[in-house]
Amino acid sequence: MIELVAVSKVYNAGRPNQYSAVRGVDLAIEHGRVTALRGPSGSGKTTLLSLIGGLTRPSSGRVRLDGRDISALSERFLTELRRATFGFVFQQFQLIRGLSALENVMLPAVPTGRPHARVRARALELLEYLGLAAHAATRAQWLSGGEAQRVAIARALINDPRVIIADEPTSHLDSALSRQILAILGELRGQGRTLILSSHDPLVFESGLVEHLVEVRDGRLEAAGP
Amino acid sequence: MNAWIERQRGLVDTTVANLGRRRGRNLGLFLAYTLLVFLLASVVLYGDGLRREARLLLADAPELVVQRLTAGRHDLMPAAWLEEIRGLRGVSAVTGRLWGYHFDAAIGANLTLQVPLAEAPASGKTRIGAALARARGLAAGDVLSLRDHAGNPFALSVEALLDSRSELVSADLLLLNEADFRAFFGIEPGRYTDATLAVANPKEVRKVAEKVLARLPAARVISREEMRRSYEAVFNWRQGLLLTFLSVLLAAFALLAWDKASGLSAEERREIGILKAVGWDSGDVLTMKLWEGVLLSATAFLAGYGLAWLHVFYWGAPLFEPVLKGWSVLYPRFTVAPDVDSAQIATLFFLTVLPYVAATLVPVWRAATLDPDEVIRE
Repeated sequence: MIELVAVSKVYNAGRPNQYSAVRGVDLAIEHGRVTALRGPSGSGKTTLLSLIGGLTRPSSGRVRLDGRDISALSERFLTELRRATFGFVFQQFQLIRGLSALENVMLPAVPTGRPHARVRARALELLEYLGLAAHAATRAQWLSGGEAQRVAIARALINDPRVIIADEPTSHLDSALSRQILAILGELRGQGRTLILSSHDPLVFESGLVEHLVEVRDGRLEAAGP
Repeated sequence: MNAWIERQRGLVDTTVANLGRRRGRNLGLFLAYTLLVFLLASVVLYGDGLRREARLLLADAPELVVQRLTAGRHDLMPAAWLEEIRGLRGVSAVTGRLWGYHFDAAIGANLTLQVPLAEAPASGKTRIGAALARARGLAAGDVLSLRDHAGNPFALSVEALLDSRSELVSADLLLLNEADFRAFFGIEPGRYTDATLAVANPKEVRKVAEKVLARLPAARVISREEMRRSYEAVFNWRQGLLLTFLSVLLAAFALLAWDKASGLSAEERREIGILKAVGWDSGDVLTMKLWEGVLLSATAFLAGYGLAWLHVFYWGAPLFEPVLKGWSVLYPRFTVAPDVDSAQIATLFFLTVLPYVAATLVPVWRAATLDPDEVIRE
């Protein structure tokens, strides 16, 4: 169970450009389900995902993973936890230009100290699973949107995390590619992983993938679905 | 331990991939860096090499040289002075020397004529330095024709060439016997150019010099230590001159390195954010950047130092030769003996590699300690 208790996040605190992205959110996310955050742009969905995944710390409130407060962990422990527990698929793919698809996929495994050959074999296996075996050596900037998104998914899976966090996974894709990505996410759900998505794409909500819907507006939760 | 090694291997792999994807920038930086190390190391290696050679030469120099001054100028010394000096307590040997300069109009250069203290050539024979032989196109058995003090032709048969290993001092040298020397310059018997003194107890050198001056107030006494200091001063001055010029280059490189290395572009900051978001901590990012700085600067250092070593010890340092060796018509063609000094390498390494690595790490550290979320949002 992932729990957010009275979580708020303020950016640029004390400066003229201060703003509150998330305000007093309480949320519980069960493992093994697909949870989606829905709301307009600027509603705080991405910030909530960052808080859930330990990419940033709350300005106030608590984030708990299986009862353990992760918002107070030191950077080192939080990074270790993030590396082992969460896989991230970012809104704009966030692949590193100049590196190949394979090198991008292997990046999260570098600090783990796992044997290079094993990591490489696993990365190639993931690329093959996602239909990208032929693009393993292709530089990130030369991949199409759908290919880049699948490479980002492979990268999220390299450390075999329990939880996949995907921020607007279909926002830069056409309908056919969006359905393909949703099918892949469905397969991941089928493997027993927890999926937490943010989106305002109707395709996501019509796909039948989402089991727990959370409406977000102005940094607050409006209503939580089943 | 295995995990640590695998982690370092992964970081190095990523670093190499990183260096490769900014090939133009890194190649430019590598070349500028290599050039800087090459120039700095060349000056230091050559300057030190010359000083070392000079020290070796002076090791065989007499402890004291006495000259006669007349109206403040060097003048010939009467044989009676040798007897006066020989009588001083502490002096173990006194030898009168004969040497002088002759302008050779044929090659437009000054020659040094000298009577060796031992194994003087036979009458009408000479042994000459390699640079003089090259300039005149002479080999053993040829005849060297000069004009004596009265303008009359003076022929000497070349008996042999002097060993080229001593070219630093023998390049323009012409050895002949005492009678030929006196005839050539018109110097009557009983007069010498100067005198060398051997002192029985090295601790008494200064005292003996004082005694010589007390006995012969018109004398000038030069100690080996003073000659060594003069050489050092000349080489230091010349090396300092070059290093001053090079410091401009060093400053230019520092600016370039600071700009290239420290100014993290928005793209680089975003990449650091991505790495942190996918599970790298600040330490991992810093270690990777440290590897990047070390790989670039250490390879450039090795390349620059290696080239400098070849430049100085095998190619005779053509870039700095005129400044460090002096200006002359008859150039000694000589290379300093190869030498590796660990303290010198360490100094050059710390002067060039550490500042670069530090300049690289500071901005990375600042970016790496931010929340990944914050960096990606930028």
